[in-house]
Amino acid sequence: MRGMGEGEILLDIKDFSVSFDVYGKKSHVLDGITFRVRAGERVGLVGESGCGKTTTLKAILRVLPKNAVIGGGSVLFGGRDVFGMARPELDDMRRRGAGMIFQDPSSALNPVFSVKSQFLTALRYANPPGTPKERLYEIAAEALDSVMLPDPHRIMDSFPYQLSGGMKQRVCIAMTIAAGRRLLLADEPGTSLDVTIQDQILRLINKLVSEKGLSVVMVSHSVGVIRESTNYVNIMYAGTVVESGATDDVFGNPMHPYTTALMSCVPKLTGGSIAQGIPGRVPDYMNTPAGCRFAPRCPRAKGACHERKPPHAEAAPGHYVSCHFASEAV
Amino acid sequence: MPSLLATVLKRLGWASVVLAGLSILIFSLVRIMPGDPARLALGPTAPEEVVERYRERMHYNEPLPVQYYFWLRQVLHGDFGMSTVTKRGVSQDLAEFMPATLELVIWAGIPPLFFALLLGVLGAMYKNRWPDYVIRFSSYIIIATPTFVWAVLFLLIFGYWLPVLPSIGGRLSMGLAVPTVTGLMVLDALIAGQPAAAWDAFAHLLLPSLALSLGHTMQEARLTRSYMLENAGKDYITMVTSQGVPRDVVNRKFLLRPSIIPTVSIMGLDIAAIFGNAFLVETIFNWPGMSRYAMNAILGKDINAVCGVVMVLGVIFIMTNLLVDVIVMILDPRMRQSRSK
Amino acid sequence: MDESWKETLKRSWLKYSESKITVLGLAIVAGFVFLALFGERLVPYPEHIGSFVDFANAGGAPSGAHPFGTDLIGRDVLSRIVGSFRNTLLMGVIVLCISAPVGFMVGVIAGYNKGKLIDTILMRLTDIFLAIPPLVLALAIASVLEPNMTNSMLAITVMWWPWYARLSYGVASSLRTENYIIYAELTGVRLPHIIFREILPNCLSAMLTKMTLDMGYVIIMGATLSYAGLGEQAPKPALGSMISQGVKYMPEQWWLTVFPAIAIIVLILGFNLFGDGISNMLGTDES
Repeated sequence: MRGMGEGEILLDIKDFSVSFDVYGKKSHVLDGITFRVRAGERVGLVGESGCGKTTTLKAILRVLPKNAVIGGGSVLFGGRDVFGMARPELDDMRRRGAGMIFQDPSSALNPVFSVKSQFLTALRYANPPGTPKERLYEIAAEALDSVMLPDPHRIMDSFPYQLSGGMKQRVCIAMTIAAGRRLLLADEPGTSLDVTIQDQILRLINKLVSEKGLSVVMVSHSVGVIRESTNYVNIMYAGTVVESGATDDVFGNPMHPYTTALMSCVPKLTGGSIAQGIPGRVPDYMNTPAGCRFAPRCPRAKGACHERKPPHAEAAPGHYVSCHFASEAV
Repeated sequence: MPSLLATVLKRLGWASVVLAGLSILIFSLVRIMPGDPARLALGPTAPEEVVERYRERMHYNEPLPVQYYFWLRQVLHGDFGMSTVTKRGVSQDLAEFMPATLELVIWAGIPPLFFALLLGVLGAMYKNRWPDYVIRFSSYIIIATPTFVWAVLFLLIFGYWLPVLPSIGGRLSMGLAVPTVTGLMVLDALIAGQPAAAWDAFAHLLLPSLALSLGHTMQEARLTRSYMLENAGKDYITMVTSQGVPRDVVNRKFLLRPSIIPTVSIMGLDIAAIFGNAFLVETIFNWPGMSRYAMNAILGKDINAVCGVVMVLGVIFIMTNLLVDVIVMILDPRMRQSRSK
Repeated sequence: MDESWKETLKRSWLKYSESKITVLGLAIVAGFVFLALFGERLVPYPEHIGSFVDFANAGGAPSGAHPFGTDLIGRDVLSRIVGSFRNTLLMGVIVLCISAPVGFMVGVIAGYNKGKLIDTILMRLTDIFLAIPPLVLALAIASVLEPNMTNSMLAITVMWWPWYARLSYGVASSLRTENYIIYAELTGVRLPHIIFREILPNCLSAMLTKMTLDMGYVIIMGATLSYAGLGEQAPKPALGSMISQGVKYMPEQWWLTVFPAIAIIVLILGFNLFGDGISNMLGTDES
């Protein structure tokens, strides 16, 4: 059994793989991802840029780009396979089940429609048919109020270009929570914004999650952020989960060499400096290593690492590691 | 929308600057033409004193800036002077020939835009399936065909080989007459309550306006298609899709509008190109518009007429662009902010 | 070094040939270039390219001896079509090789001095040129001057440079505030260095893409002027003037218009496809 809490399992991703068709070749981006989210849990996904975090979130909502091919495994939401759902069921999951907060709020809002127009269209389908427009407007205004945006009515009449980045991100969050979704998928929220604004956005999400009892999958490349705001964490490397467990366990006692390396990059853990922090780069997804995907960069890699994929095995109670030599690391 | 009005006013002010520059450009261009304009106007047999008096009266002996001043003063009163070819006022000539050209350009510019948008959307919807292939393949060939080649081929095919449409007979068939109200024949015929004449006028317009519009239509269709496809992958589309908005609502509402804006905003340039090409197409189809007048003016070094034609085209072009900008501002709120440039 | 150069070439080709139809474009362009260079020696009747008269064979329909027929004074249409390619291609190349650098300089100087008087003057001038329907401007200029090939190229160049000015203006005015430019200024680097070493490399791929995409349009414009009688003069062949001569003898002597028309269409199709391929390769949007 994985995961800490005892609550109902909301999201269950099992050995899930995705590849992209690029110029007729296959780019194997996700390779056997496995993790769970229970009701009320805050789960972190942490890893370098380009390790498949965003792809994982998009897969949950079945909004992968057109050239994506599911390689195997399943994504279960509320016990139902997202990729096997019929239209009405899928719509229901998207409208009331899970919602995504995009990394860059400027690109997540349509530039040529007002906030009101986008918000009310989304709400119209998320609420029972025939809900009067006034009621939808009220729900939207309340949501804008709950994300601490001043003067919701003015915001509703605004176009995205009239709002600051932080305000846009709050609008996106409001749109995601307004319909009563239970699971938030936060994709590096605010990374494209100012550091102080980013901090405010994270606090806001944490506050909303605890007030409304929501579950959250928090994606980040920042160990600090994940440490602060999650109680369970998955360390991702090149489309694989290399280590998972309670946040305190994983960061208190890192067993995978990649986790160790990642932590040593703190505090200057940004897209640019991480490449300096860990020698080498995320592998070419067209031509992935046969064994452990981290082996080419791993300081401890041995023969087995290049040949066989390590299993995601329980190395300590509730603490899983994908490394042939996990025990030596301790 | 006070910001919209402010932007329009600002553009109008700017347009007058461009027009002033244009007038200087055209004026200097025409005055550096070789040949004595007074002599050209009066003919080789006129006595020298008469020519000299004419020069005096037209200020041809003054320095260029002074000449420009007198010319501009006239133009601002709507007087482009006399045409040396037709021996009539240039304004009078323009009033006679311009409506036919305008009607042609309007038919070649506006209805095809809707076809272009439709084809672009179809191409994007059926990406890499047969409707897309048909549209794309034909667009390559259609775009590669110069307008005058279309005109010539249409004339050959529909004028001689398959004479199903009127090709060289002006704007209306013999025996039909429509009282002039707007100068646009189809509209005038409808106003006069003559549907048969309207149909006849439309049939006359069909080949020349098709020749003028085909290339632009396919170009606009390609542009629309590529923006539809590009925008379909944008986060703001994924966002509304992921929130459970049905796909047809997403496409019809959130994808269509941002994708057609670039196509609509190049309309001003397309109209300008159509005006230019109309010169040749009118000649080929014997269309009684500006082109023959302008060509004769150019070849006969008829200064006033050339200036008049180019200035009027400049005004029409600038007004068209302003109109296009207003439409774009209505479609795209970002444009409503007065731009710095 | 050698290896990486090969690697780059290989990747460029992969990107270029991503869409198979652009390969066809390259083949067409290569074919026309070949004919432009050597066509005069390969055609069946090289002397027909100039002022040759053979009334016995005038106005002959397509036949074995003259696959595209003969014109009013008995010259072989095929030979004349092939004989026109050199000037047609030269026109495109020369117009673009003059208007692109001129436009670049105007745009860079204006963009680099954004907000100053020189910026206003240069860019307003550019706008004025753009305010006249292009063909009308070209017709007006070409008519003021003696009608010949050089002057028609001049006329097209005059109306073409503003587009390049706009392009480099955009790049220069946005780079102006970049740190490395400011750094170069602070260290006392001279203006030519900034323009050619810092700014030029940043607009080069966009300029090259635009140049290849523009080739077809310049050729269309040249053919149009030639059709109006303002291009290459008789007896030298030009596709536009061949068509305008042929129109007078439609429909009986259809081959006088149809074959030059097909040649123009194929030529422009080739360059448009080639331009698409180059734009795929250099990774800039065609718009």
